[in-house]
Amino acid sequence: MNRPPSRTVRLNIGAMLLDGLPRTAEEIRSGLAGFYPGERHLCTEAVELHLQALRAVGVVMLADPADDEARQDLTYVLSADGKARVQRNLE
Amino acid sequence: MTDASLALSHRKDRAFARKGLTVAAINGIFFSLDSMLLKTGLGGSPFCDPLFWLLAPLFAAGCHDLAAACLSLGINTAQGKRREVFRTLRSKPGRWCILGALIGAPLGMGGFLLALALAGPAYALPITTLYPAIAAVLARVFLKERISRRTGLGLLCCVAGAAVISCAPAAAVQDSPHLYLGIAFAFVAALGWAAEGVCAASGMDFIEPGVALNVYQLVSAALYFCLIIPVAAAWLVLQGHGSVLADMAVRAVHSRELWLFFGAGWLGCLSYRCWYMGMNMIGVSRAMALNITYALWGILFSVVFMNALVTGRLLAGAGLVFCGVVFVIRSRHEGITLRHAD
Repeated sequence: MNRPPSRTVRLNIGAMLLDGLPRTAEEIRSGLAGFYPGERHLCTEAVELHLQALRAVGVVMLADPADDEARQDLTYVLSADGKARVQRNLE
Repeated sequence: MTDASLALSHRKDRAFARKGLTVAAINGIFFSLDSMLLKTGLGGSPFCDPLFWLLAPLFAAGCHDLAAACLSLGINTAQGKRREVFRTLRSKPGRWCILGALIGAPLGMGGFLLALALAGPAYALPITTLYPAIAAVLARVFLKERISRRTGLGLLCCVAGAAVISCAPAAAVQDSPHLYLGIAFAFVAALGWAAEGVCAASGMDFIEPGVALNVYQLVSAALYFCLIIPVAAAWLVLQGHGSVLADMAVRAVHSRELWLFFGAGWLGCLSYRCWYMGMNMIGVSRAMALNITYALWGILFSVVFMNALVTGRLLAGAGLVFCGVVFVIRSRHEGITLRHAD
């Protein structure tokens, strides 16, 4: 994440998931908070809504919780198509 | 997937889809009131002068988008998203919203006005109501959007109903030497509005709807005031109506109608926010079908506020739109996924 301020939050969520690790909305929020200091819209509920919207358009999908049963909430990963679309928009 | 996470996922999916359908349905109400205010404003002095058949609606559309952009920026600032708006203007996905504005203003609104002038409302209005159907085709081709049989049927009912409602009586059909050119412009307008929606939906893959809308409105307002309105005004000056134009400008600034355009813009801001959220949450085809319910609300508001008569044609059209809405709302998708994966 070289130039985070020039990226929209939703695109940065996709960029964060490029490493293939499943994450919850709260984990994504805490990971992004440093990039958008003082921006009130970056809360867990908003990130959850971003993830739902990204899921609706096929960019992210639900991860298999069997991989990490310790988490209480849903975890998300990029779909194969989503990975290509995120990379295309980051270029 | 475990039972608990499956149940949680279903619960979140249902809430997401329900919210998308609700905002898309509300959009029609605001859109109808917005159109009514614009129509009232354009019917008053000095905008009703036949000399300003092109300039007045373009000026109204510019004021509408400027007021909507200001309110949108206010809402986004209050929500802490002002920096996200300007970040989006420079981002790659933001280019889709800018492209949507560049297509929507000249092709959509410009085409519609030329169609009205050259072919008359009897042809222009029913043809331009085709835009949700064209948008569904574009969304299917370019966004690979899934369109279930019920959604398709609902969309057709909504479009047919809106066309029946907006069809003018035979007496209003005008005999124009440029009739076919006017009809062609009506199709260009429908294509422009449909392409605008699909471009915005594509940008919203990586932009929040309220922010994407603000970018669209800022670009659209700038396009109207920096290019479209000056060109339309210059055209009037070249025809030798410069002094009338100056008089119109003075009267316009002091008119009550100007505030109606701004009021319409504020309503339009709310309407478009709902529409953009709907397109992002339930897909272009379903949101467009629910958007066109403005024709249904238009009948209700015309009866309540303008003492309009309810004719059999209006009732038939309203019935078709209502059936279409029921089909769209009851259509089922696999989970919340709207698109076919590659």
